[in-house]
Amino acid sequence: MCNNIKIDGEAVEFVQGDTILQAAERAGKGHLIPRYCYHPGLPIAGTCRMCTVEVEKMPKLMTACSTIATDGMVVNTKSERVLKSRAGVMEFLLTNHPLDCPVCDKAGECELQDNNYRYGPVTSSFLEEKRVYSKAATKKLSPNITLNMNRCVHCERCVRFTEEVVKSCDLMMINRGWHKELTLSDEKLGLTSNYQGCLSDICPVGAHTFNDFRFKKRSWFLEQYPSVCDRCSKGCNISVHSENGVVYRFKPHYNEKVNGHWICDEGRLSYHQVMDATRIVKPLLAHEGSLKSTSWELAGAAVNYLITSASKVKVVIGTDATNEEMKYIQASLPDKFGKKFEFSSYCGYGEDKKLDHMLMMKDKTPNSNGASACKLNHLDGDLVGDCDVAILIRYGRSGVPQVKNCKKIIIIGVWTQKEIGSFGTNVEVVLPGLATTEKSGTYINCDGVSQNFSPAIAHLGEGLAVNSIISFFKK
Amino acid sequence: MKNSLAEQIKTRYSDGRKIETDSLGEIVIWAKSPTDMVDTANDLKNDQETRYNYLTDLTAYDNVDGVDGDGRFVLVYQLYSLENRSRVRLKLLLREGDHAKSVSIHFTGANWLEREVFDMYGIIFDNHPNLRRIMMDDRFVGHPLRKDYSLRQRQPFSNNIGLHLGTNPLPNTNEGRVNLNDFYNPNVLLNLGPSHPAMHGTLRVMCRVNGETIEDAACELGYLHRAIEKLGENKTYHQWIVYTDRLNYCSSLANNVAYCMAVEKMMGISITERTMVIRVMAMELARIIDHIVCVAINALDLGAMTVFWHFYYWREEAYTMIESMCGMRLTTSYTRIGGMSQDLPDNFVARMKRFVEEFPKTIDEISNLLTSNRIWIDRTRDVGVITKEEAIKYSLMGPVARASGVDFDLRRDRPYYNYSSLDFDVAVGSNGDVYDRYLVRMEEMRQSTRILKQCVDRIPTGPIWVDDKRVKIPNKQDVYTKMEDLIHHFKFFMDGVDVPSGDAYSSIEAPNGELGFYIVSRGGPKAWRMRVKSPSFMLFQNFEQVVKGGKIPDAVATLGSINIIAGELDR
Amino acid sequence: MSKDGSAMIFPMLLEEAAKWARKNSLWPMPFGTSCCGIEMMSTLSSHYDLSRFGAEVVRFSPRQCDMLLVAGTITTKMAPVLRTIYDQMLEPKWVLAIGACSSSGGIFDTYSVLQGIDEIMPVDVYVPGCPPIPEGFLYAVLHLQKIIEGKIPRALSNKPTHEDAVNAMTYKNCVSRTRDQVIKAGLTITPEYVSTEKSKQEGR
Repeated sequence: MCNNIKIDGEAVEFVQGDTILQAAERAGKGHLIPRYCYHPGLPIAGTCRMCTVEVEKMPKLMTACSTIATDGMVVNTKSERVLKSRAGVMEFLLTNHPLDCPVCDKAGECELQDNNYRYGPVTSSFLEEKRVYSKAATKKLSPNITLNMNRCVHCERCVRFTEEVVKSCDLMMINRGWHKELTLSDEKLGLTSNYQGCLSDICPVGAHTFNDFRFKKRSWFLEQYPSVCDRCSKGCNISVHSENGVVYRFKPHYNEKVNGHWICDEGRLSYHQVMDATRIVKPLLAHEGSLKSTSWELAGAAVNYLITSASKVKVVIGTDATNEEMKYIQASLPDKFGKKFEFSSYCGYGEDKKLDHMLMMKDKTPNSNGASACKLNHLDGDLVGDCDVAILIRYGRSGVPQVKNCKKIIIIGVWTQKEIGSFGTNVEVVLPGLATTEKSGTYINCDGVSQNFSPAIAHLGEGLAVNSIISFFKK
Repeated sequence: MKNSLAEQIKTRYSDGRKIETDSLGEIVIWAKSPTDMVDTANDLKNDQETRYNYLTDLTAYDNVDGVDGDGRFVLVYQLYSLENRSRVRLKLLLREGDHAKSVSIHFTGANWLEREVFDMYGIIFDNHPNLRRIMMDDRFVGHPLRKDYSLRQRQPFSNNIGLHLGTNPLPNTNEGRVNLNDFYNPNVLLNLGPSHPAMHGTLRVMCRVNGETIEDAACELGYLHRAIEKLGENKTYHQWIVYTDRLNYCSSLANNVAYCMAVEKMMGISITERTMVIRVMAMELARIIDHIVCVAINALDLGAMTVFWHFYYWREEAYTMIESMCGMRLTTSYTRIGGMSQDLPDNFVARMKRFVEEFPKTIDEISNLLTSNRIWIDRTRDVGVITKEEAIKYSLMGPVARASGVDFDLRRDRPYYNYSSLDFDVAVGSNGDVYDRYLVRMEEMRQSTRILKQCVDRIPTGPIWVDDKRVKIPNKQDVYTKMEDLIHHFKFFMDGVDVPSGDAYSSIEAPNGELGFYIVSRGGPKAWRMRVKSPSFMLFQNFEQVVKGGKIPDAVATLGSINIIAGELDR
Repeated sequence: MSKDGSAMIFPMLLEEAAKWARKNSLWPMPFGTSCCGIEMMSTLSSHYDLSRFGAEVVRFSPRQCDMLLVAGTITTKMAPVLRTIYDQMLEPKWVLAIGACSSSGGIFDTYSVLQGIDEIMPVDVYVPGCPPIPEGFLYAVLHLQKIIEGKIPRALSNKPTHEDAVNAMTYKNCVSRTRDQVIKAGLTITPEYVSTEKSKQEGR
């Protein structure tokens, strides 16, 4: 038996318990119904009245987000009553909205702008003075989020988010009617959750803005490519917003099995490590006591010399390398130089466990499970020692192991200057690699889900993928 | 299009071919194969009823998203019938690696157009006499207008200019017997190079001269190729208005009007009366200033400097008027989709009336200087002759074609705006030499002044913006004080105007000929393909043949009279 | 000479005399390629009259000129021509980049346009505008005259030699790539382990 409703004359199947809006979303027709307070990851409110549609045999216009779909319903999203209702809702929402578009971060991706352009009136007939929240006009709710209360359309998505999803109950609406205002539950504490960035994602207007991105870049300059966050072993799916190879922010990408609609703040800010000014992006060679930048051929020749003249080489691969890289290194190095290698993986965070009820994990490397799948044993005792040459390969997340009694150290991957400095003068060659957003590969997350990703930005610098690096290890 | 003509085409050409109409109601015939495409074009040309003997344009667009069918490219011919005054379009789907057949045996003007398609898309034309790159230099790898070639993708270019163009474009001699390395050989390869004293822009003509007679010539262009068509795919419709100024920069107003007319037709918007009259006046003013440049520079090249100084006074007057209309002298960007950027200033009518009174006197003065001047006649009579048959064969248009006897003027034949209610004559020459072109241009200036006089006396009052929510730009006072207007202004300029999907070709009688815009839209704020049909391109193609047999100074005189504008030539 | 015919003598340094002579007799080499060339024509004509500042003799031969007026867009095909003309001019020579296109590429940020002629030659005066009005031209020439006099220092921050120009044109030191080029060039992990074209996220 099919469950069918008709939207604009076309039959749409739905699952028992779906609302009209959910049925439309399932069939890919979500763009026909504009909305403000509905969000798939939040409980249904039905307060904004923007999603009203005309349902046959019902006298009033029904909100699509809260009306359960029944078999045989006929829904019209384009009738004159519906268009008039939308225009009316838009007009009333804009009566008190400030003329902030030129300075508001949300411009270009703002649902208010888009809906007004499509459905709203062309000009305003509002002659009164607009409401102004004098104290909360620009208020820092926390170091991460700034609130511009004048722009708020009172959809209450943020309140539902902090109550139901994050369960921190930081935000609430006080007063009624014209004076309704969003405030913090505790002024001294501010926002306490680790998911504050998601507030700026779900806010349909520019009321909540993420301070890290505030005033940095206009949204239409940004290209968007999907990738996987590598800040912890959860491996949330992200969308990398960048321009010309420079990343400006991460936004969550919906994935039912891994992260749902959200990412944590730590992961959201993790792009700073890729863009770090002290990240090594040129091959370095030790010369007269310090590391000098050089060409790939010279560096590769130096590595070649070191390895061929060594009898025992220990290779430590951080658990933030992709499966392909781990397999390739294990296969190609003995191929080239013979059996003198000892491979192990290194994590640096100990046993993995959940840190909260949502997404955060203790293991801050993305591919610990992948390391065991590639048959890499964990480094014994967190110490690399007693060998001629130690090769440390890591892509920015795993911890830095201690090194003792190794004559020479070769470093490959994503490292900062400070981390390399901590090894002292034993470092011979440094070869830059690609971070997660710059390469393609596979990670296996803490739940065993294997995720493929491809490059989201082009690497700015001279770093290369590991197969290109290893191809330089010749005379 | 006449109904009977449309019916005839449908009955005669529809076996196995799909016939449909485009966004403006013009007939589009989809050919079955490359051979069929060429044969159908030839049939349409020779058919006594339809007589499509003009190849207006030959272009292609990328079908990488497969919307138009199973093929990577769509090859497009635009044909026009002089007698029936009607247009038809032929299309062909080509898969990656398919060769098309060259139609240059039937329409000589297709030669360079096919070279341009090859350069930009990589479509190879079989039986083409000279398939080489035309816009990009020989070291270029790839084909820029394909969708997978990104706009800013620069490549290393050469660091020296080759003396020869490509691989042996000029045969050694007519008979093949003379050895060019012979010291006493009078045959010399002379390069009238891209840095040209005659201020015509960046053109290059490689001539093989015998003494001072040009025996063979090969033209090279692309020295000002600024990728304006590729920019049309990357900028919104509004943002592209500024690029239209830079096409024929001597008459920017006409280009603006032509482009906005094309987009408005696709969107089905009809502009207000006042805007229509303002646009007609702008086009005629542009025609006057372009002809002033052409005649003045032509005379300057031949030594008559007085003409240049004297005519330029009126150019400055026109510039002052244009500056008061839209703020800029040369690159105007005056029109917007659905209206104009600003209304006419208060002193415009008085200024224009003075212009219209006084300017014909200067035309008469210049005419006195040149028209019966013995030296001028000696230099320009029977120089650079283009016969009527040659003009039609090469698909020339504009004053050059009219001077050769082709009676073709879009303002009268396919009237747009209110030209059908205006009183004007079309000047047609008989000889097709430089002298005739000069006379045609002078007469056209007089006729344009006549049109301006008729328009300025009765400019209708009313709004300049059409009352259509899709295009009307809110006025600045409202944008700064009202929320909805701010949002609309923001979305217009940040996202762009949404043009329904389809394709359309629309053209006007620009000062140089027929300036057409072929817009392919897949919906959305940016065009999928923005093709500019430029008159100078066809004129320069013919130039190679015209100068053969003449002397070098004659070539200079001819080049001046043809009025090649490099911005339009290379786009 | 004074009014009654008796000779007057101005003692001055030879350098100063040379500077005065040079600045008042600049012979322009007009290199007008596009729209700015039309405004250059307007400047040279009688209404705005560049010749009252001494720059009248427009000879179109680089061997005889000392001021190169680059007015208009310079494309990559035209660049070697421009550089050749610059090399053919004799010292002392000055370059004016007139308009947005020759200063920085202007509105044409595309595959075939030089983003400013200072990629291949040193420039003395940049004139903004698209096109600059003739008064802007005249201001530039007057500015150049002050540079020649020495009142304004001649700041050539980027002074490409001929070799630099050749390197610029042939992209010897070019490193940057776009994301699509990176994928196409296979500069990520080898395709046998994972295909970069098909990237599907499990569980979507």
